[in-house]
Amino acid sequence: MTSMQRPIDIAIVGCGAITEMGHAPGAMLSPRVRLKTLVDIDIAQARKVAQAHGITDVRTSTDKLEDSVEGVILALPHHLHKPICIEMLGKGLHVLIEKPLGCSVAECEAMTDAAKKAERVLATAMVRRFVSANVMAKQMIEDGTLGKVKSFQIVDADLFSWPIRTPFLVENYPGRGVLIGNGSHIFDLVLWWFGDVETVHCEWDSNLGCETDASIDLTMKSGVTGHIDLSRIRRLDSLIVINFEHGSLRLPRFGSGVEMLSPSGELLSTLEPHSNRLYASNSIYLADLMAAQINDFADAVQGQQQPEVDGIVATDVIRVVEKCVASAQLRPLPWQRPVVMPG
Amino acid sequence: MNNLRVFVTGGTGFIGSRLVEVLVEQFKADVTVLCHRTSPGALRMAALGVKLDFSRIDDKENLAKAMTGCDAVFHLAFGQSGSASDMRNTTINGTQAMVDAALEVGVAHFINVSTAAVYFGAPDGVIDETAPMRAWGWSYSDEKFEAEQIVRKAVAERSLPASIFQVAGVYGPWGATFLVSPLTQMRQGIVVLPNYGRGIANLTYVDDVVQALLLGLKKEAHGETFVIKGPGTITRMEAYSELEKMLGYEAVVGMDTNEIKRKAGSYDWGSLKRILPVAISELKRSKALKAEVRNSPIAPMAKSIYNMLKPKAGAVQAIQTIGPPPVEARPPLIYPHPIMVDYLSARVEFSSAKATRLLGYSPRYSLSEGMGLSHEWAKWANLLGPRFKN
Repeated sequence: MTSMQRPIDIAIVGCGAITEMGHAPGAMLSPRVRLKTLVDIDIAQARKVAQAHGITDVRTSTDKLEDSVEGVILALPHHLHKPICIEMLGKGLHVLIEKPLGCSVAECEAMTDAAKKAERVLATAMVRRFVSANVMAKQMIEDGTLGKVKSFQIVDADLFSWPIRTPFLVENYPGRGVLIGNGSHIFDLVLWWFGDVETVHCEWDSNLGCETDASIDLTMKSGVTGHIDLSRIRRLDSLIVINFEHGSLRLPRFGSGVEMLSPSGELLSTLEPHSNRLYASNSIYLADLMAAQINDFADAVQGQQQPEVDGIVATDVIRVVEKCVASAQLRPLPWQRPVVMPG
Repeated sequence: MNNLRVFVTGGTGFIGSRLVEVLVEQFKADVTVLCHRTSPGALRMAALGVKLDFSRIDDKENLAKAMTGCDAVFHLAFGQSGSASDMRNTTINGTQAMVDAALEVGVAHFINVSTAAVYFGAPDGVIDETAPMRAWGWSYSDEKFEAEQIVRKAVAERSLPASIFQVAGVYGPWGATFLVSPLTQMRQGIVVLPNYGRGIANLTYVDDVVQALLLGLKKEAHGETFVIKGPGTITRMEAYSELEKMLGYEAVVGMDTNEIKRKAGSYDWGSLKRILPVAISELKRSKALKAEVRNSPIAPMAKSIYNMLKPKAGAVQAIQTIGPPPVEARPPLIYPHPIMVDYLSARVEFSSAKATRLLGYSPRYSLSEGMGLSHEWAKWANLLGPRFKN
């Protein structure tokens, strides 16, 4: 962006936890956008977020939103992504949508088609793309600094504590399991770093579409193999390790400090990834990362670049989720026995 | 027992979630679970395919709607979050609303789950349901006791087909009080057991409790109170020894009860008890304040105070550090909360003979069997490992 470019006016539709903690403060930090309007059917919640940031235009409906803004951030229950996204694109608005893009590949393709037809940007919020350690890992993989990648291991598992405002994750809607929730972030990183997936095998705790715990083994088309653990019901030690021919990288979940390890696992050095704040951040604060993501979206709206994660890339993520679902087997629970009733 | 329609409160908690699992997976029951937030327990219940109902527990009208058509109600919920008054509202007003709703829709079985801790103060020896019950200062037990009175009154005056199950020392996968919290404490330091660990633990494996609660569906249970306990006489030291085996190192020590009381006596627990819950409640409400505290030099102190007062529900959860700071990297001693010292020291053993006689209750899990299964789960849940670095 040049200094002459004006920030674009945006609205946020959906004022729940991710907006309160991420999108709204992120938009306020971004020099590329002006947050003008907040929309939520829960007007009290929308007003609460608006008050925190001095926003005066608060609504319960998206009617005529196109009259006052160019773009929207959609932060809604997953099952509402497709209809509201297509509606916004139809109004001529550019859309940055919180992950997952949709609940199925079919939904994602409908949204991507709608964006193409409307000639509008459809970007998906995958905030980990803007963690500078992850950007550094991407560069080191491409540069071959430590040789070719052989394998990876990722653990993203904690007791669910997100202060969600609506209970859509436990109600009978599609797109509510840990594979599409936490998995969207992780599968996006994996596809970004290592390319397309060849085979997937998944083990999980429920075949009802609302699994809470899953382990996935992947083989990438490049031959790289990997293991991923995802959970909302147990606290494992977070881990992102990439094993190369000549050593390994251990990445933080957020923040700085990329550890470079020898092939025998000895710590060689701790690298501080470059944080330019506009597009990659060392910050541990969600708002800083969201600001970087919003900058990227605004640049895409102004025609300077493709968004970091467009509709096609985000659809590939859901394709991996669907492969996991197709391969999934119930996890054995060795601590469970039937309760034997007397008599 | 198959294909029942069942309404469960506390179904996202430890005992309730196992009960729901068994009802759904073994007995193909159609279960609705009362739920107040999207917690890990709620997500587990959603993964089982049960319906989650977000009515308030003190909202009789909506509870009645949710219970309509149900064959049985299992009421396990108690207040464990929010202010003291919020918690009391959940346990006491919640029980009243549950009773009223169950009577309105005419459920056939109302199974109320309480605690054997209501018998605290009995002389050492074997006791049963004929022993005197009392409130003694532990809010969890006291409020459960009060809730029992609501159920008994409804049985006596309004013919509620209810039974009360006073469960003792329930442990097993997902259990906070006798598994998760002690393992966490033992990784933080050395847990001090009063009375040299000779207090009787009255441990009961969770599946034996579930067996008992399902036996509550018999008509013989109506109007009765049952103490539920697992097999054998198990001291607290024996129970903790099983946890030490899981961890692979020693992390518990017995101490004289009076010596522990003497150490605790130098603290003004009464004023702390009054002031700190209010402070914590305020802290929880303010994200900004929380962030400030987290990033300030007082963070370690604030965390230990928070941990000290946060728990309400479990004896072992109420353990806290009051010993001297660690010297020469020795693990700190972790003393029980003063109010729990006598409770943990008591050599009172509960008898479940009445449940066996009237209902056929037959506990299956010895300590080693129950702890063996708990060990499997603890490995999966990543609860085992070396001591945390201080």
